[in-house]
Amino acid sequence: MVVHRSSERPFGGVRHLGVIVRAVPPLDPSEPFGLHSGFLYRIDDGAPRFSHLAWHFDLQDEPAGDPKYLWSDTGLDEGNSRVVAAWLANRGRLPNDIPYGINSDGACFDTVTAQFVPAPVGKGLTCATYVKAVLSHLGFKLLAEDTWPTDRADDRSWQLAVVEALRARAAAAPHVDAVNKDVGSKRFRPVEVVGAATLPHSSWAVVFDDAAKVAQSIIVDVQKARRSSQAAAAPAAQAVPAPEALPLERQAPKGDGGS
Amino acid sequence: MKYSAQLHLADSARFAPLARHWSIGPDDGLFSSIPYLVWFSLSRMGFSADDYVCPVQEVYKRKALGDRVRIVSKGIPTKAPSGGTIMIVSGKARSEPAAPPQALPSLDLKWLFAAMKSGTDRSSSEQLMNTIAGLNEVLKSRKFAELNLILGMIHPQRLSPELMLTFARVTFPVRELLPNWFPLVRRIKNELERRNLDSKQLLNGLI
Repeated sequence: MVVHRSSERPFGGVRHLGVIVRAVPPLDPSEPFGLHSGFLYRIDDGAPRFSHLAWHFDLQDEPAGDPKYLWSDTGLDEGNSRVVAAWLANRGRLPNDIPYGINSDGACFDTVTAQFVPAPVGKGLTCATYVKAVLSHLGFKLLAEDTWPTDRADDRSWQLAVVEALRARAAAAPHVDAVNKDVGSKRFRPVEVVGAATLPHSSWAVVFDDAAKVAQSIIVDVQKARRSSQAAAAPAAQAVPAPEALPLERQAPKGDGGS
Repeated sequence: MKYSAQLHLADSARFAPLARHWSIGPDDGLFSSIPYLVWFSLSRMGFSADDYVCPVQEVYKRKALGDRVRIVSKGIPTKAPSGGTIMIVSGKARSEPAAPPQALPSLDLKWLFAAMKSGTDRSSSEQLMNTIAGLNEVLKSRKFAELNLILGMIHPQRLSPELMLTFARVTFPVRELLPNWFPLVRRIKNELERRNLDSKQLLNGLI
């Protein structure tokens, strides 16, 4: 087990900095579910908090409470974990100014203000690249990005679904049009980013194959949690096939989710 | 030109707390720059930033070893008691010119004082957050020359490991604009190793 439910390990047990992931309704209806990711952090003896990019211009910094999130500590040592947690706590006080986009080229935190750079139209972050961008801003290279594949067909379908979701939720037309032009760009999935972040810091920058392995384990953890919560919520759901009953390839959530 | 300097304590007891906190001396890199020494001293005594300009100019006129330079009169005529003097105890020219002495006064550096006083034990997260917020304020005002000087004055020997990392990582995105960033990271690396800490892991991504 890579990520844990809060009923098993309360969020308050985080060693300063963790990562979170949860199943969400899929953006692409052909997928069984999507995934959403972010940070879990705690300042000294304070209450744990989530920091995550929920959607277009919707960066959330909120008390950690939603039990649907599974979590794990990151692979960072204590000192660095505390620095990132403190940075997140400060960032939570700054403007909520991060657009959603599938290509983060040229879009990142301002090098000097920690505020989001007014990115080129259409550029922005996903929930997953938010995690990557925060770490990168502070000098951590989480992923060996050049090892990531560029030709996954399901990434393309998810990116098209993002465009439609932005359009449906009234994002500015020039932004949506520009995002549409980025369909086909390299994608860093939430489960891959979360998986990489759980690996020991000494193994960063994580190559794709290593991230994919731990990502597969996280998917299994998420599926178990979904099945458990579904069973608890509706005993009648026993008639519905459990996600694990599906072929593994079909099970794998391919989306960033509807966040 | 920069000089090491030492507060001459005889003229004013108000300098004594500074000496206790920071053990200012000729080998002390924290206050390696005269303008900052004077400004820090004045600000700790409660004088405003405007008081700073004349004393520094005066210091630059009197740069011989052993000179005692009054930092009262011109700049701080209305704020008794009498302030004190500083005495230049050693001097060494450096290749780069010192920053304009009027550069720092507009900055609130309480966070830096607090960081420097916090000691080598574990820092609280509040301490880290205050330091990050302070650095962000300097960054937001884009005072890179001043920030560079601040980094040059930092003594890792006086900091907790997480505060060392805070200074290095928060300024990482603008490292190319800060000539003192890489030397600071090298000093941090040396200090971490002196404390038998895993510098390679702690500084992962920075060097």
